[in-house]
Amino acid sequence: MTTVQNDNLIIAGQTFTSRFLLGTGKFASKNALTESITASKTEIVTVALRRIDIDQHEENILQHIPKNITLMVNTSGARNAKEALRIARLARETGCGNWIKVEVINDSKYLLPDNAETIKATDLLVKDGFIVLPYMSPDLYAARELVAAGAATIMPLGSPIGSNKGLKTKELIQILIDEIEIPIIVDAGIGAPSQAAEAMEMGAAAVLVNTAVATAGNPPLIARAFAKAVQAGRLAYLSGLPLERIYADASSPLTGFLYE
Amino acid sequence: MNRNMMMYSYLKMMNGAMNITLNGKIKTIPDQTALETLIQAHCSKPEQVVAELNDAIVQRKLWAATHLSENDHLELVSFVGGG
Repeated sequence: MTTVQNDNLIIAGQTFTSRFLLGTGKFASKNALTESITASKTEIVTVALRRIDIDQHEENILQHIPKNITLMVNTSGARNAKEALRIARLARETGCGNWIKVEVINDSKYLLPDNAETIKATDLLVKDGFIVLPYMSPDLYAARELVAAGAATIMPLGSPIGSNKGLKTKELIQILIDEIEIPIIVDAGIGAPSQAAEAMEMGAAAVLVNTAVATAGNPPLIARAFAKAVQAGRLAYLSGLPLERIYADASSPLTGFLYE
Repeated sequence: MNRNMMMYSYLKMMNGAMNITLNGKIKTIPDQTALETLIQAHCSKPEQVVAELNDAIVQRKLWAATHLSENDHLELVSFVGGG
């Protein structure tokens, strides 16, 4: 059987065919962003909320995002749960839905998420009616608390935001994939399509990429490469990958040549 | 003459003016300016703006009826690219 039927990503009851989520930051041009969204076939993109520069009439990012795409607003800038709630409420007031990527960060060097505040924020936001996708440092206990708080997915980091280092937390992410019932989306640090494929082969439900696409020489082209890598990794996972072995296992029959 | 300039020439004609803090900066605006008037003057896409006045969100339908006061803290936010 070489086709897979109905292998959809389901988040909070919504069905998606793509397992690639794209961040919209750092694109050199708005055209590159729009073309990358199209080329990646993504159905969910993240945006941030910021003060308007009142002395400059800026272009609004939303006019460059196709209408059928699910918008997920991140709480970047929040240093604690209370600030995350404030940002989320402002975001909801725009009328762009209630999907929130919780991102609570105190550390500006590594931009690592604060799991304790992320759990508090998730709890507050779920109670306030949001669909919450928390970004977190991969830790089984924290992930369980996020599930208990009502998170729609868990989004562990592969390595620090924008570092392009790939899956430095691979074994911890594997534990989450094996133990947590809700979708695990690897967010942050994925710097190449091969790393996205690796996450999908492990059984991640999806990946979220921004820097690796936005800062590539040709963003739409690498966006297409990511889409293919995610599909390839997913098919490999579904196929049931064979286990690694220490010693060789001959591929050809081990008989004396021509003698038996 | 853009909208901002029009507002400030309007300000000159007014007898009263007041200071508010808009996105962290002090701004002098006419007394009793409606929130809607200010947003129209400063935002190219008002339909994608959210207003928070003294830490409380002001719903869009209330912008016209909300008049600003001396020393108000107003935050106007909108979407930008982000991961």
